[in-house]
Amino acid sequence: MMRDNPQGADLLKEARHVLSDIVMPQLSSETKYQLLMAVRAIKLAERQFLADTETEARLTALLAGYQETKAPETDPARALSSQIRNGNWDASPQVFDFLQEVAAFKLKETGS
Amino acid sequence: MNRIEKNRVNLQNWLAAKAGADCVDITDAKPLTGGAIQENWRLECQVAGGVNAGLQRYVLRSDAQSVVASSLSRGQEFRVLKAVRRAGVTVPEPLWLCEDKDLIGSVFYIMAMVDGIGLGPKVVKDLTIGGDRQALGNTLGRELAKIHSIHPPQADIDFLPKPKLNPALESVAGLRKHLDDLHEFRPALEWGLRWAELNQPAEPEITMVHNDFRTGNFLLDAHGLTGILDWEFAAWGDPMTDLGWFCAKCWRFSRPDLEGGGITSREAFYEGYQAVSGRLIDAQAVNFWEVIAHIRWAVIALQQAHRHLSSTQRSLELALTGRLLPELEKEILSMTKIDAWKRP
Repeated sequence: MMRDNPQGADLLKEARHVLSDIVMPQLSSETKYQLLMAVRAIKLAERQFLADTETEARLTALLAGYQETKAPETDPARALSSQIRNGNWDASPQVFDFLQEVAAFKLKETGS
Repeated sequence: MNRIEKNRVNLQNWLAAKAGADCVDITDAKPLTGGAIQENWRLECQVAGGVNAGLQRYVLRSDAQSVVASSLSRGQEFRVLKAVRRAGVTVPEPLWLCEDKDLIGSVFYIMAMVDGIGLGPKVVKDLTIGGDRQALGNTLGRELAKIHSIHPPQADIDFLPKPKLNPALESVAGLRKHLDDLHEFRPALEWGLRWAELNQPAEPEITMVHNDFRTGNFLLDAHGLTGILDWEFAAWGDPMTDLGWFCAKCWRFSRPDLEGGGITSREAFYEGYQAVSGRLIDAQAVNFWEVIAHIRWAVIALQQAHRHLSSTQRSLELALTGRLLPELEKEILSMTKIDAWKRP
Protein backbone atom coordinates (compact mmCIF):
# COMPACT_ATOMS: atom_id res chain seq x y z
CA MET A 1 0.00 0.00 0.00
CA MET A 2 1.31 3.45 -0.89
CA ARG A 3 1.32 5.77 2.08
CA ASP A 4 0.75 9.51 1.86
CA ASN A 5 3.72 11.75 2.38
CA PRO A 6 5.18 12.94 4.65
CA GLN A 7 5.57 9.57 6.29
CA GLY A 8 5.73 8.69 9.98
CA ALA A 9 9.47 9.16 10.44
CA ASP A 10 9.38 12.58 8.73
CA LEU A 11 6.53 13.74 10.93
CA LEU A 12 8.30 12.59 14.08
CA LYS A 13 11.47 14.37 12.97
CA GLU A 14 9.63 17.63 12.44
CA ALA A 15 7.79 17.36 15.75
CA ARG A 16 11.11 16.74 17.47
CA HIS A 17 12.65 19.85 15.93
CA VAL A 18 9.73 22.03 17.03
CA LEU A 19 10.05 20.74 20.59
CA SER A 20 13.82 21.00 20.88
CA ASP A 21 14.46 24.18 18.87
CA ILE A 22 11.39 26.28 19.59
CA VAL A 23 9.74 25.08 22.80
CA MET A 24 12.73 23.96 24.84
CA PRO A 25 14.63 27.29 25.05
CA GLN A 26 11.60 28.84 26.72
CA LEU A 27 11.34 26.32 29.55
CA SER A 28 12.58 26.20 33.14
CA SER A 29 15.26 23.63 33.91
CA GLU A 30 12.81 21.30 35.64
CA THR A 31 10.36 21.23 32.73
CA LYS A 32 13.26 21.07 30.29
CA TYR A 33 14.23 17.69 31.76
CA GLN A 34 10.75 16.36 30.99
CA LEU A 35 10.93 17.68 27.45
CA LEU A 36 14.40 16.23 26.91
CA MET A 37 12.96 12.83 27.75
CA ALA A 38 10.12 13.36 25.30
CA VAL A 39 12.57 14.38 22.56
CA ARG A 40 14.63 11.28 23.27
CA ALA A 41 11.54 9.10 23.03
CA ILE A 42 10.59 10.65 19.69
CA LYS A 43 14.11 10.12 18.35
CA LEU A 44 13.97 6.44 19.34
CA ALA A 45 10.59 6.00 17.69
CA GLU A 46 11.89 7.77 14.58
CA ARG A 47 14.84 5.37 14.25
CA GLN A 48 12.62 2.39 14.95
CA PHE A 49 10.21 3.56 12.28
CA LEU A 50 13.02 3.66 9.73
CA ALA A 51 14.67 0.43 10.77
CA ASP A 52 11.59 -1.57 11.66
CA THR A 53 11.13 -3.71 8.60
CA GLU A 54 14.78 -4.50 8.08
CA THR A 55 15.56 -5.18 11.73
CA GLU A 56 12.50 -7.25 12.42
CA ALA A 57 13.13 -9.50 9.44
CA ARG A 58 16.81 -9.91 10.28
CA LEU A 59 16.19 -10.67 13.97
CA THR A 60 13.50 -13.19 13.15
CA ALA A 61 15.76 -14.90 10.65
CA LEU A 62 18.67 -14.96 13.09
CA LEU A 63 16.57 -16.34 15.92
CA ALA A 64 14.86 -18.88 13.70
CA GLY A 65 18.25 -20.45 13.06
CA TYR A 66 18.29 -21.56 16.68
CA GLN A 67 14.87 -23.09 16.63
CA GLU A 68 15.63 -26.06 14.48
CA THR A 69 17.83 -27.67 17.12
CA LYS A 70 15.04 -27.88 19.67
CA ALA A 71 11.50 -28.99 20.20
CA PRO A 72 8.39 -27.10 19.11
CA GLU A 73 8.89 -23.78 20.83
CA THR A 74 6.90 -21.03 19.17
CA ASP A 75 8.97 -18.09 20.34
CA PRO A 76 12.58 -18.34 19.09
CA ALA A 77 13.92 -15.95 21.78
CA ARG A 78 12.29 -18.11 24.43
CA ALA A 79 13.78 -21.29 22.92
CA LEU A 80 17.28 -19.86 22.77
CA SER A 81 17.03 -18.42 26.30
CA SER A 82 16.04 -21.75 27.71
CA GLN A 83 18.77 -23.60 25.79
CA ILE A 84 21.41 -21.18 27.10
CA ARG A 85 20.10 -21.55 30.65
CA ASN A 86 20.26 -25.34 30.36
CA GLY A 87 23.90 -25.22 29.31
CA ASN A 88 23.40 -26.30 25.68
CA TRP A 89 25.50 -23.41 24.36
CA ASP A 90 28.22 -22.91 27.00
CA ALA A 91 31.08 -20.86 25.55
CA SER A 92 29.69 -21.39 22.04
CA PRO A 93 31.34 -18.97 19.58
CA GLN A 94 28.39 -19.45 17.24
CA VAL A 95 25.83 -18.26 19.80
CA PHE A 96 28.12 -15.53 21.10
CA ASP A 97 28.54 -14.07 17.60
CA PHE A 98 24.80 -14.23 17.09
CA LEU A 99 24.08 -12.43 20.38
CA GLN A 100 26.58 -9.75 19.48
CA GLU A 101 24.93 -9.30 16.12
CA VAL A 102 21.51 -8.91 17.74
CA ALA A 103 22.91 -6.43 20.28
CA ALA A 104 24.50 -4.41 17.45
CA PHE A 105 21.16 -4.27 15.61
CA LYS A 106 19.33 -3.07 18.67
CA LEU A 107 22.01 -0.51 19.50
CA LYS A 108 21.77 0.94 16.01
CA GLU A 109 18.11 1.49 16.66
CA THR A 110 18.58 3.18 20.02
CA GLY A 111 21.36 5.32 18.53
CA SER A 112 23.91 4.39 21.23
CA MET B 1 -3.42 19.28 48.38
CA ASN B 2 -0.44 17.01 49.11
CA ARG B 3 -0.45 14.67 52.07
CA ILE B 4 1.96 16.78 54.12
CA GLU B 5 -0.40 19.76 53.83
CA LYS B 6 -3.40 17.53 54.49
CA ASN B 7 -1.92 16.13 57.71
CA ARG B 8 0.00 19.19 58.76
CA VAL B 9 -1.45 19.60 62.25
CA ASN B 10 -1.05 15.92 63.17
CA LEU B 11 2.51 15.95 61.85
CA GLN B 12 3.40 19.13 63.76
CA ASN B 13 2.05 17.69 67.01
CA TRP B 14 3.92 14.44 66.48
CA LEU B 15 7.17 16.29 65.69
CA ALA B 16 6.77 18.42 68.80
CA ALA B 17 6.33 15.33 70.99
CA LYS B 18 9.35 13.63 69.44
CA ALA B 19 11.56 16.73 69.61
CA GLY B 20 10.55 17.45 73.22
CA ALA B 21 9.32 20.87 72.07
CA ASP B 22 6.38 23.01 73.12
CA CYS B 23 5.28 23.24 69.52
CA VAL B 24 6.55 22.83 65.96
CA ASP B 25 5.45 24.89 62.98
CA ILE B 26 6.20 23.47 59.52
CA THR B 27 7.05 26.65 57.61
CA ASP B 28 7.93 24.97 54.32
CA ALA B 29 7.54 21.49 52.82
CA LYS B 30 8.93 20.58 49.41
CA PRO B 31 9.26 17.21 47.67
CA LEU B 32 12.86 16.25 46.93
CA THR B 33 13.71 14.79 43.53
CA GLY B 34 15.08 11.31 42.96
CA GLY B 35 12.48 9.24 44.78
CA ALA B 36 11.03 6.75 42.30
CA ILE B 37 10.49 4.19 45.04
CA GLN B 38 10.37 6.40 48.12
CA GLU B 39 9.02 9.86 48.70
CA ASN B 40 11.31 12.39 50.34
CA TRP B 41 10.12 15.73 51.69
CA ARG B 42 12.30 18.58 52.85
CA LEU B 43 10.71 20.17 55.91
CA GLU B 44 11.62 23.51 57.38
CA CYS B 45 10.36 23.75 60.93
CA GLN B 46 10.25 26.44 63.55
CA VAL B 47 10.72 24.59 66.83
CA ALA B 48 9.67 26.30 70.08
CA GLY B 49 11.11 25.01 73.35
CA GLY B 50 13.32 22.03 74.11
CA VAL B 51 16.88 21.25 73.00
CA ASN B 52 16.01 21.62 69.29
CA ALA B 53 14.55 25.13 69.63
CA GLY B 54 14.98 27.32 66.55
CA LEU B 55 14.83 26.75 62.81
CA GLN B 56 15.39 23.09 61.94
CA ARG B 57 15.61 21.35 58.56
CA TYR B 58 14.49 17.76 58.38
CA VAL B 59 13.84 15.16 55.68
CA LEU B 60 10.69 13.06 55.90
CA ARG B 61 10.99 9.75 54.06
CA SER B 62 8.04 7.49 53.31
CA ASP B 63 6.87 4.95 50.73
CA ALA B 64 5.89 6.30 47.32
CA GLN B 65 3.25 4.98 44.93
CA SER B 66 4.80 1.61 44.24
CA VAL B 67 7.19 -0.44 46.32
CA VAL B 68 9.82 -2.55 44.58
CA ALA B 69 9.85 -6.15 45.74
CA SER B 70 12.70 -7.10 48.04
CA SER B 71 13.33 -3.60 49.36
CA LEU B 72 13.25 -2.92 53.12
CA SER B 73 10.32 -1.24 54.82
CA ARG B 74 10.85 2.31 56.07
CA GLY B 75 10.95 1.05 59.66
CA GLN B 76 13.68 -1.44 58.78
CA GLU B 77 15.57 1.18 56.81
CA PHE B 78 15.49 3.49 59.85
CA ARG B 79 17.07 0.75 61.99
CA VAL B 80 19.75 0.09 59.35
CA LEU B 81 20.60 3.81 59.30
CA LYS B 82 21.04 3.74 63.07
CA ALA B 83 23.30 0.69 62.86
CA VAL B 84 25.55 2.08 60.14
CA ARG B 85 25.78 5.45 61.84
CA ARG B 86 26.98 3.65 64.98
CA ALA B 87 29.65 2.01 62.80
CA GLY B 88 30.87 5.47 61.77
CA VAL B 89 29.40 5.58 58.27
CA THR B 90 28.61 9.08 56.97
CA VAL B 91 24.81 9.13 56.79
CA PRO B 92 22.12 11.68 57.66
CA GLU B 93 21.25 11.31 61.35
CA PRO B 94 18.08 9.21 61.71
CA LEU B 95 15.88 10.97 64.27
CA TRP B 96 12.38 9.56 64.73
CA LEU B 97 10.29 6.77 63.24
CA CYS B 98 6.50 6.84 62.95
CA GLU B 99 4.99 3.38 62.38
CA ASP B 100 1.42 4.67 62.69
CA LYS B 101 0.17 4.60 59.08
CA ASP B 102 -2.74 6.84 59.93
CA LEU B 103 -0.69 9.92 60.70
CA ILE B 104 0.19 10.80 57.08
CA GLY B 105 -1.04 7.71 55.22
CA SER B 106 2.09 5.53 55.44
CA VAL B 107 5.00 4.71 57.72
CA PHE B 108 7.71 7.37 57.64
CA TYR B 109 10.78 8.54 59.45
CA ILE B 110 12.53 11.84 59.99
CA MET B 111 16.23 12.41 59.50
CA ALA B 112 18.45 15.45 59.69
CA MET B 113 18.74 17.37 56.43
CA VAL B 114 22.18 17.06 54.83
CA ASP B 115 23.27 19.48 52.12
CA GLY B 116 24.79 18.22 48.90
CA ILE B 117 24.20 17.17 45.32
CA GLY B 118 23.49 13.57 44.43
CA LEU B 119 22.45 13.43 40.81
CA GLY B 120 24.88 11.00 39.11
CA PRO B 121 25.28 12.61 35.67
CA LYS B 122 25.83 16.04 37.25
CA VAL B 123 28.29 14.80 39.85
CA VAL B 124 30.33 13.04 37.17
CA LYS B 125 30.49 16.12 34.91
CA ASP B 126 30.82 19.00 37.36
CA LEU B 127 34.29 18.99 38.87
CA THR B 128 33.39 21.74 41.35
CA ILE B 129 31.43 19.07 43.25
CA GLY B 130 33.08 16.54 45.55
CA GLY B 131 36.49 18.21 46.08
CA ASP B 132 39.63 16.39 44.98
CA ARG B 133 38.39 13.35 43.10
CA GLN B 134 41.18 10.98 44.13
CA ALA B 135 40.62 11.91 47.78
CA LEU B 136 36.89 11.40 47.25
CA GLY B 137 37.54 7.92 45.83
CA ASN B 138 39.66 7.09 48.86
CA THR B 139 36.94 8.36 51.22
CA LEU B 140 34.26 6.32 49.45
CA GLY B 141 36.45 3.22 49.77
CA ARG B 142 36.88 3.87 53.48
CA GLU B 143 33.16 4.42 53.98
CA LEU B 144 32.33 1.19 52.21
CA ALA B 145 34.83 -0.66 54.40
CA LYS B 146 32.99 0.66 57.49
CA ILE B 147 29.70 -0.70 56.14
CA HIS B 148 31.42 -4.06 55.59
CA SER B 149 32.74 -4.06 59.16
CA ILE B 150 29.22 -4.97 60.33
CA HIS B 151 28.84 -8.73 60.59
CA PRO B 152 25.83 -10.86 61.45
CA PRO B 153 24.25 -11.53 63.85
CA GLN B 154 23.04 -8.08 64.99
CA ALA B 155 19.94 -8.15 67.16
CA ASP B 156 18.57 -4.76 66.04
CA ILE B 157 18.82 -5.56 62.32
CA ASP B 158 18.15 -9.30 62.36
CA PHE B 159 15.45 -8.79 59.69
CA LEU B 160 18.11 -8.24 57.01
CA PRO B 161 17.91 -11.00 54.41
CA LYS B 162 20.64 -13.63 54.74
CA PRO B 163 21.88 -15.67 51.80
CA LYS B 164 20.93 -19.34 52.02
CA LEU B 165 23.38 -20.39 49.30
CA ASN B 166 26.61 -18.87 48.10
CA PRO B 167 25.47 -15.22 47.48
CA ALA B 168 26.69 -15.50 43.87
CA LEU B 169 24.48 -18.48 43.11
CA GLU B 170 21.60 -16.94 45.00
CA SER B 171 21.95 -13.85 42.89
CA VAL B 172 21.87 -15.86 39.64
CA ALA B 173 18.78 -17.75 40.82
CA GLY B 174 17.06 -14.53 41.92
CA LEU B 175 17.69 -12.78 38.60
CA ARG B 176 16.43 -15.78 36.62
CA LYS B 177 13.30 -15.81 38.74
CA HIS B 178 12.70 -12.10 38.07
CA LEU B 179 13.04 -12.73 34.31
CA ASP B 180 10.61 -15.66 34.53
CA ASP B 181 8.14 -13.61 36.57
CA LEU B 182 8.24 -10.91 33.90
CA HIS B 183 7.93 -13.50 31.08
CA GLU B 184 10.98 -11.91 29.49
CA PHE B 185 13.14 -14.08 27.25
CA ARG B 186 16.47 -12.38 26.80
CA PRO B 187 19.18 -14.61 25.36
CA ALA B 188 21.98 -12.11 26.10
CA LEU B 189 20.99 -11.88 29.77
CA GLU B 190 20.72 -15.68 29.96
CA TRP B 191 24.20 -15.88 28.43
CA GLY B 192 25.55 -13.64 31.19
CA LEU B 193 23.71 -15.58 33.90
CA ARG B 194 24.99 -18.92 32.63
CA TRP B 195 28.53 -17.52 32.59
CA ALA B 196 28.01 -16.34 36.16
CA GLU B 197 26.74 -19.73 37.24
CA LEU B 198 29.93 -21.36 35.95
CA ASN B 199 32.27 -18.65 37.21
CA GLN B 200 31.02 -17.99 40.74
CA PRO B 201 33.61 -16.76 43.25
CA ALA B 202 34.54 -18.86 46.29
CA GLU B 203 32.27 -18.81 49.36
CA PRO B 204 32.79 -15.31 50.81
CA GLU B 205 32.87 -13.82 54.29
CA ILE B 206 29.35 -12.46 54.97
CA THR B 207 28.97 -8.80 55.95
CA MET B 208 26.38 -6.08 55.64
CA VAL B 209 26.13 -4.87 52.04
CA HIS B 210 24.52 -1.63 50.89
CA ASN B 211 23.45 -3.15 47.56
CA ASP B 212 23.04 0.21 45.80
CA PHE B 213 26.40 1.84 46.57
CA ARG B 214 26.96 3.92 43.44
CA THR B 215 27.38 7.41 42.07
CA GLY B 216 23.97 9.03 42.37
CA ASN B 217 23.38 7.67 45.86
CA PHE B 218 25.96 9.86 47.61
CA LEU B 219 25.50 13.49 48.56
CA LEU B 220 28.53 15.64 47.80
CA ASP B 221 29.34 19.27 48.47
CA ALA B 222 32.28 21.31 47.19
CA HIS B 223 34.65 19.59 49.62
CA GLY B 224 33.60 15.95 49.48
CA LEU B 225 31.13 13.42 50.83
CA THR B 226 28.29 14.61 53.06
CA GLY B 227 26.08 11.52 53.18
CA ILE B 228 25.43 8.03 51.81
CA LEU B 229 21.78 7.53 50.91
CA ASP B 230 19.26 4.93 49.77
CA TRP B 231 19.61 2.00 52.13
CA GLU B 232 16.45 0.16 51.08
CA PHE B 233 18.33 -2.77 49.52
CA ALA B 234 20.74 -3.37 52.44
CA ALA B 235 21.25 -7.05 53.24
CA TRP B 236 23.83 -9.59 54.42
CA GLY B 237 26.01 -10.70 51.55
CA ASP B 238 29.37 -10.82 49.79
CA PRO B 239 31.16 -7.48 50.35
CA MET B 240 32.58 -7.67 46.82
CA THR B 241 29.01 -7.13 45.56
CA ASP B 242 29.21 -3.45 46.51
CA LEU B 243 32.64 -2.98 44.91
CA GLY B 244 31.35 -4.50 41.67
CA TRP B 245 28.21 -2.33 41.67
CA PHE B 246 30.21 0.87 42.32
CA CYS B 247 32.79 0.13 39.59
CA ALA B 248 30.36 -1.26 36.98
CA LYS B 249 30.51 0.65 33.70
CA CYS B 250 26.76 1.25 33.71
CA TRP B 251 27.18 3.55 36.75
CA ARG B 252 30.00 5.68 35.34
CA PHE B 253 27.61 7.85 33.33
CA SER B 254 29.53 10.09 30.89
CA ARG B 255 32.98 9.05 32.23
CA PRO B 256 33.43 5.36 31.40
CA ASP B 257 37.22 5.90 31.64
CA LEU B 258 36.98 6.56 35.40
CA GLU B 259 36.44 3.07 36.77
CA GLY B 260 35.58 4.29 40.26
CA GLY B 261 31.97 5.22 39.56
CA GLY B 262 32.86 7.77 36.85
CA ILE B 263 34.32 10.06 39.51
CA THR B 264 37.64 8.57 40.55
CA SER B 265 40.18 5.88 39.74
CA ARG B 266 39.57 2.30 40.74
CA GLU B 267 42.94 2.37 42.52
CA ALA B 268 42.05 5.32 44.79
CA PHE B 269 38.79 3.63 45.76
CA TYR B 270 40.50 0.29 46.41
CA GLU B 271 43.26 1.92 48.46
CA GLY B 272 40.76 3.55 50.79
CA TYR B 273 38.80 0.33 51.08
CA GLN B 274 41.85 -1.81 51.87
CA ALA B 275 43.25 0.70 54.34
CA VAL B 276 40.19 0.43 56.58
CA SER B 277 39.01 -3.12 55.97
CA GLY B 278 42.41 -4.82 55.89
CA ARG B 279 40.72 -7.11 53.38
CA LEU B 280 42.48 -8.01 50.13
CA ILE B 281 40.33 -7.26 47.13
CA ASP B 282 39.68 -10.28 44.95
CA ALA B 283 39.78 -8.81 41.43
CA GLN B 284 38.06 -11.84 39.91
CA ALA B 285 35.23 -11.63 42.42
CA VAL B 286 34.76 -7.91 41.71
CA ASN B 287 34.71 -8.67 37.98
CA PHE B 288 32.05 -11.33 38.60
CA TRP B 289 29.91 -8.81 40.50
CA GLU B 290 30.37 -6.23 37.74
CA VAL B 291 28.84 -8.67 35.27
CA ILE B 292 26.00 -9.32 37.73
CA ALA B 293 25.61 -5.54 38.19
CA HIS B 294 24.83 -5.10 34.50
CA ILE B 295 22.39 -8.01 34.51
CA ARG B 296 20.72 -6.71 37.66
CA TRP B 297 20.37 -3.22 36.20
CA ALA B 298 18.96 -4.78 33.00
CA VAL B 299 16.38 -6.70 35.05
CA ILE B 300 15.46 -3.55 37.00
CA ALA B 301 15.10 -1.68 33.68
CA LEU B 302 12.73 -4.40 32.46
CA GLN B 303 10.74 -4.17 35.70
CA GLN B 304 10.49 -0.41 35.35
CA ALA B 305 9.33 -0.70 31.75
CA HIS B 306 6.71 -3.22 32.89
CA ARG B 307 5.47 -0.79 35.55
CA HIS B 308 4.82 1.62 32.71
CA LEU B 309 3.43 -0.94 30.25
CA SER B 310 1.10 -2.50 32.81
CA SER B 311 -0.19 1.00 33.68
CA THR B 312 0.82 0.48 37.32
CA GLN B 313 2.68 3.78 36.94
CA ARG B 314 2.58 5.44 33.52
CA SER B 315 5.80 7.39 33.06
CA LEU B 316 7.99 8.35 30.13
CA GLU B 317 11.07 7.98 32.34
CA LEU B 318 10.14 4.39 33.20
CA ALA B 319 9.34 3.67 29.55
CA LEU B 320 12.71 4.97 28.37
CA THR B 321 14.53 2.97 31.04
CA GLY B 322 13.30 -0.14 29.24
CA ARG B 323 15.25 0.98 26.18
CA LEU B 324 18.57 0.85 28.05
CA LEU B 325 18.67 -2.90 27.48
CA PRO B 326 20.80 -3.00 24.29
CA GLU B 327 23.64 -1.06 25.92
CA LEU B 328 23.58 -3.27 28.99
CA GLU B 329 23.45 -6.43 26.87
CA LYS B 330 26.43 -5.23 24.85
CA GLU B 331 28.43 -4.67 28.03
CA ILE B 332 27.45 -8.08 29.45
CA LEU B 333 28.63 -9.74 26.23
CA SER B 334 31.89 -7.81 26.21
CA MET B 335 32.63 -9.05 29.75
CA THR B 336 31.74 -12.68 29.00
CA LYS B 337 33.57 -13.33 25.75
CA ILE B 338 34.46 -16.92 24.94
CA ASP B 339 37.90 -16.73 26.57
CA ALA B 340 36.31 -15.55 29.84
CA TRP B 341 34.46 -18.88 30.23
CA LYS B 342 35.98 -21.70 32.22
CA ARG B 343 36.21 -24.58 29.81
CA PRO B 344 34.21 -27.55 31.06
